Amino acid sequence: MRSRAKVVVLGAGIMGLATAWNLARRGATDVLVVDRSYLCAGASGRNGGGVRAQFSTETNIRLMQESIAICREFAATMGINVWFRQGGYLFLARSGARAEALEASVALQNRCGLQTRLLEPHEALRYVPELSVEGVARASFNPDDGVVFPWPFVWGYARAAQDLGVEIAPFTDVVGFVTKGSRITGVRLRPTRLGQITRGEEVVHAGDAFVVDCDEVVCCAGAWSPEIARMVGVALPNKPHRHEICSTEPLKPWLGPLVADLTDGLYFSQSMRGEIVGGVSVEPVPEGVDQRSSADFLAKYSRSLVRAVPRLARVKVLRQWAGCYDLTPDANPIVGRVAEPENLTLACGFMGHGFMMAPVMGRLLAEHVDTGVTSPLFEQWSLDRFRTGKLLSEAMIIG
Amino acid sequence: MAPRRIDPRALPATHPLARRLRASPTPVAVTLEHDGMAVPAYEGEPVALALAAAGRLTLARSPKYHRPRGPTCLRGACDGCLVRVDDAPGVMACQTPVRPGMKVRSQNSFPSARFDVLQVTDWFFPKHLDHHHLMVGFGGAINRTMQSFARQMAGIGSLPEQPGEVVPHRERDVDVLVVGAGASGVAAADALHAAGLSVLLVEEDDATGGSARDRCDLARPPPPPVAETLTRASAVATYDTGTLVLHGGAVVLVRARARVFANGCHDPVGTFVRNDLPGIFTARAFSRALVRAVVLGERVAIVGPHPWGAALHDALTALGVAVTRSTGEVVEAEGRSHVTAVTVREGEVTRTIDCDALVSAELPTAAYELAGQAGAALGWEAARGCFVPRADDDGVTAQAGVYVAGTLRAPWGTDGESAADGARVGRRVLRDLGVGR
Amino acid sequence: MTAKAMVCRCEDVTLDEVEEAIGKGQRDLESVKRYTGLGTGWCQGKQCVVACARILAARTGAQPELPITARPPLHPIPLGALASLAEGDDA
Repeated sequence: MRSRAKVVVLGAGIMGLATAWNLARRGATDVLVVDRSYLCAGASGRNGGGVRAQFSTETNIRLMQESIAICREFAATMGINVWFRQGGYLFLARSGARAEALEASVALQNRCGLQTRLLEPHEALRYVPELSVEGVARASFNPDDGVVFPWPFVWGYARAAQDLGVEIAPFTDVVGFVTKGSRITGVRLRPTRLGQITRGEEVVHAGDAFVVDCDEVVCCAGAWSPEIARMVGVALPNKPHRHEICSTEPLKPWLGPLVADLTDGLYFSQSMRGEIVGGVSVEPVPEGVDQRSSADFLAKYSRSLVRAVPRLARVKVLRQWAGCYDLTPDANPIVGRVAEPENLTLACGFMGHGFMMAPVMGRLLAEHVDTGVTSPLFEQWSLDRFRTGKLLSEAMIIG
Repeated sequence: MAPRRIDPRALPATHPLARRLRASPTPVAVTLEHDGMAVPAYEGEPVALALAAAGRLTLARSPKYHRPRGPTCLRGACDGCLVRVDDAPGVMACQTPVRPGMKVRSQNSFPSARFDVLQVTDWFFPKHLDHHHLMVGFGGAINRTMQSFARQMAGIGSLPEQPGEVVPHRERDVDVLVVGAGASGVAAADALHAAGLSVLLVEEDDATGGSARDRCDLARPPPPPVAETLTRASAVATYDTGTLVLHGGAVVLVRARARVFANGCHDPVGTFVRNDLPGIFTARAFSRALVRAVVLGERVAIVGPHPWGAALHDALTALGVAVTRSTGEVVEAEGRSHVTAVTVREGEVTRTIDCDALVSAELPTAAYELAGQAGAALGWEAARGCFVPRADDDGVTAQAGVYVAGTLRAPWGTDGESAADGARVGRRVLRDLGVGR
Repeated sequence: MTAKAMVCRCEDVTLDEVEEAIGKGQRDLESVKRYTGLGTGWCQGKQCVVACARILAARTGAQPELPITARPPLHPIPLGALASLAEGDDA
């Protein structure tokens, strides 16, 4: 492992790897990406693969328009299949208030150029004939939204970044920082696996800490961001929030869109292998980063799903797992530099839509770290807004 | 075709298998339908066995290459017997009892699993299909077309035609839940019951006895437990808040102060060329079929170190079935849609044995999954070559209230040793629950 | 039938494919599982996890440590049977 890097990226999920690859493409190849575990261990390997532009704010809509375009070309660009299928997202609203909010979102999306249609409940059956629309007040459908298979994104970015000279170190924990004045001068790391890594002539064993000197640090550690930021005196308001998910037996293809119910957080889609993959909101959730599965989730999910599609009652669950959303108080991410240390850039708090935003965020973050250019987006999403009270909103959150 | 029903009178009267079969209740003859054909069967027997006895061993096709698949483990631990039953997709035929008039159909094949036109896929990708890089260099439009095609090919069963029911669940609160009614589970459950605790013993098979019940060299199955027992009751998911037991299509939520996992082992098939051919069975599966009066081949090869190899050899010889036994290693199985021969390596020598059934007699591996779900620490046991739940001599794991017993914990050589282990774990549970000595 | 040796029959993962994954840097069970799909099918690893662990040990020289995470359910459960557990909960 190199003993110094121009940029150290914390977290080898899609956000960190997309940033690293974009940096390397700009010629900034002296990049080290570290991760506490194997690739795909975090949210990037646990999510349902949804990619959508149906949001309630122009910022999110426009970002996702670009991300969807990147996803469409990803397989050809990166040389690995990601199975991006644009079968659309069908949102369901049950109450009057939610229906009105949905109507406003759709109107905004149309102004931004999306093909989203606002639907009466019976019109939703055109897209999912098997669906029960009892109790649904309004629905929306955007045919360009879709689903990907998440893991190849991570491998694709990793391989392409490595080919350009980026170093990726899994099983390496961040245990502290070395600072001088108002800057980070090094990141303290510790290998977590039995075994060792070599740094020049030196061999470092699991359990031994060592320092990598650096000029810039980018924190893309998702649910682990607050504990890392705390190490360098930065208090983040985001909290990990467990979201469970499960997968059924593989069925011949029948479900086109991803269906999402804004009331109980139910969402489900059919993967490329034919499994129905989905989740539902469960409260309360345990504190901290907890990725264990519960019976409560299986029960609530099954009940919601069977009500939505009664023909699924005889279909079987094969496995359940969980990951953590990275929640912020105003449902918008925390991106950009902090006041101190001045060379730390944050990219976290992406709620449950970080994966889908990473392709475009990687480009923006790399540009920012490489050139220092600050975009209005970074100001809008800065950590500082929680101090100044300039909170944002986003209504189209799933689960 | 080779598999057939056994007439007990074909065996010498004193042979344990003959006595076992004679003591079995007389089955009721019924008919089921398989891919449009009427098939004779016995009510209550596993559908997979009924189909096998009728010469129907190719029941399914594999997901990517459409290779023929058939029952292999007969215990619900593989993909070989997946069929559609009436309106339900993805049913394991070995875990489903025959009901008169049931309609069993192949899935994921055209026109049927027996003769699937899509088997050309296996030839088209002789080494393997690299789905990560398939047609990735051809540009966006072609790649997307490939994806559309891949999606149509994917999936096994079809969505049911009719809406289904929400099946009411039941709830039970007990002192101790014991999973697995083999030698150790029965010993633990009975010890706890005798001490006055409320015990529920759940067994996923249709009767108690565990592996001993599948042995073809015992004249009688083991005696049943005294403790309250549910059979055809599979503990499928366990959490701090309770254990979900699937019983008769419904969930029984069992809350218990302590959980004893005595659910034994899986039976692996070795990793060798064409190890997924119909006609390849585990030692336990082959024996399990024998005690249900079905012999799964006429020219049988038994290869591997499983201790039941000798008993199988003996029973098959008594049945007049040609049997060759080898304690060597399988190199390769041959056959187009059913096994026809096996090449084995015995030290320096390699030989090929013609056969119509291959028993891949590998050593069992601990079924650690439930104990792992419950929070037991897991680790690799080099001596057994498998993962095991870590526990002390009393079956105590890292998770409070979670115990392991029997062959799940250690490779006991006899049922007696396994039962002694179960009794020991039972005594420890009593102590930990604060019950008098 | 072609000369494939199946490691994970439920997902049609061949020995060839597992060895290629190891060659591409997937050197632990969790990574091989994700790269090949091994252990994510009908039997959820009952047949293949041990087989894959033995292959990894032989190729990398490292003893296996942990299996893939033991996730519920052990056998497939119908959604209709699970739904009942939530009936009576507030919507």
